[in-house]
Amino acid sequence: MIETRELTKIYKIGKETLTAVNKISFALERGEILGLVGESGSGKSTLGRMLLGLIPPTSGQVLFEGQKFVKSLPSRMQMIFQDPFASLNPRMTIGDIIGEPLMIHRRATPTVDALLDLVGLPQSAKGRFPHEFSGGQRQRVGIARALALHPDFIVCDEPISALDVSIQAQIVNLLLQLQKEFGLTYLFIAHDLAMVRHISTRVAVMYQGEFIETARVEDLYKSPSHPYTQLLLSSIPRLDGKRASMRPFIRTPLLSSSGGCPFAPRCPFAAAKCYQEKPQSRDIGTGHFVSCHFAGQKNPLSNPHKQPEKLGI
Amino acid sequence: MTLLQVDNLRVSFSLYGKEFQAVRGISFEVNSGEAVGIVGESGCGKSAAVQSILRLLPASKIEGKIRFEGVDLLEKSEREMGDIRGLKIGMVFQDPMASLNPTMTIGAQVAEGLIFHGIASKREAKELALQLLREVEIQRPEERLNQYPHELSGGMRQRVLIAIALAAKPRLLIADEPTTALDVTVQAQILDVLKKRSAATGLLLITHDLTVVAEMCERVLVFYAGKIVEQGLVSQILSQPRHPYTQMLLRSIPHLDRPRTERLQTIAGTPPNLLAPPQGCSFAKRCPYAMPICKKEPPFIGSAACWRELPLFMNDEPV
Repeated sequence: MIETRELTKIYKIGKETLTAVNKISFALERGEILGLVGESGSGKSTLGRMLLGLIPPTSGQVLFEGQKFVKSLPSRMQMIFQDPFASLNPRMTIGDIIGEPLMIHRRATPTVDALLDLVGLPQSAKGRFPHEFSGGQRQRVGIARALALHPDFIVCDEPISALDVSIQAQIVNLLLQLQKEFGLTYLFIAHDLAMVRHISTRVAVMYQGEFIETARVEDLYKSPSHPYTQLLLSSIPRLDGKRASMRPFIRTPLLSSSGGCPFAPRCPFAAAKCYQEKPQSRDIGTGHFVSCHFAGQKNPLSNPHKQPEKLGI
Repeated sequence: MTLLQVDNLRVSFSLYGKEFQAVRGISFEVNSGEAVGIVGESGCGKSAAVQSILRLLPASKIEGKIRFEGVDLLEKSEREMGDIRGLKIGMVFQDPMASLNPTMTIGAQVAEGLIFHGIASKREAKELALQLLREVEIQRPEERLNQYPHELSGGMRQRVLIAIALAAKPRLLIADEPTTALDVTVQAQILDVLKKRSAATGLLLITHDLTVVAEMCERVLVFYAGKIVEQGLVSQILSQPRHPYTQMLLRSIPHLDRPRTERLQTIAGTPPNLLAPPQGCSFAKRCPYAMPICKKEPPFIGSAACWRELPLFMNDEPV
């Protein structure tokens, strides 16, 4: 359905350059929900926006059904934004916001009424303004707007992070129900790993602009194979109060890893090789891709406090 | 020993000429050395409740009793409160960018409280500030002393705020959503620092994340619409919640340590309008177990404020 080839975005900041997305290649099948996780600044949103053509890539390609990006595509790809307060025009009524894409593309169906029904908003919402609605209801408006043109592919950029927990469940259920009903394909960007497990069929973990691990959702959570994924999963507090955080992780790089693995400076298992040679993404079994020299080998987690020095660096 | 005892606290604001009842009669206590969590959704009154403890809400009407080490804080003068804020009760705010002064160096901001409370001279304060930064595990603290907030990452700034709150060795530490704005890996580090550094003090931790409470606290207060609907031991409430709101809240979140479910439970509707709070139980309108009495009379206050807790109503049919 959608495919990228060595997609790259480099920002120039003064004389320096920042590689937000570094040669990402992946493919999404129709009906898949790819969960995209990673820390802030890892390039998740930049990637999502490049897929929709909202940001021009520095190099690489986005292919939609095998074709290069063309002007007529936007109607088939849509976005649901993070902030339901900033992404709706405060001077437009809900009816106008949802109807705008229909007007621009001269479509008669679906009607605004039908779209309101679809996302569970009352018909009376049509004449009202965004400020009259709660965060959850506004996010429903954003979803209705995204669905107006019958898209095939939707980028959901942290659609629930700004909402209260009890409301998050409502929106996630709605997104899943719509996905089933219309066979939609989602890229679901989030930092809540439990929610990503709930919603996704496949998960990609992003670190400094690269996919460092991609796997089917069950595989990723059962056997996370990149040390960074392990760190992420072990950092989450659990209901039983037993968080197994890996330590120590030093945020600022001590050694330059240019040319090596980008995660090496923070990795408790890094060996000399990790600083010299960049690991290639390889399949360690049924579509479970990991970019780590030692992935698939005996789990180094059994000795989580091994210091880099002891590993001969 | 009871450090903080809050009795029937009510906080209200005047809004559009009406009374907005943010906190509607809550009672709880914090013992020294104990960590108590407050959970609830936005607008449930959790921040208003803790800010009124330090009397940080000038435009509000506060009623009830807030006893700190046996003395009612509501009877203190503004000047006397100055000796309590920071010195006896420290506070860590949610937004690390907005609560640091962008025009002052980190060192000056950590030292400020120490000098203000007369704990240290200017020269000593600088030395103490350095030590405090070390205690909250800031890398290269000597360098950080002379830097400004914008030069630090979010997690680093939150550590500075914790250092400031702990500077005068307060008896009680209040932390209002200290990790909400942070990435999970950074959150884990901040929680570790908080746990280590607050072991000797009482800790009142506000969060909307039940898993953070599970990790940090012994007891928890569940807030809903300005009231405490359930309180008790964390181990009990998270495994066997009694109030329908707590039960539904726990089922509405996916948990990594539980099997995947097809659908998340949702709580239909929205919290009540606190300009005109409902007569009966504030959750009755959204509660699947609500009985006629729930809409008429507020439930008695117990460890779970719910009419079903009374044997008389336990088996009544919901309407």
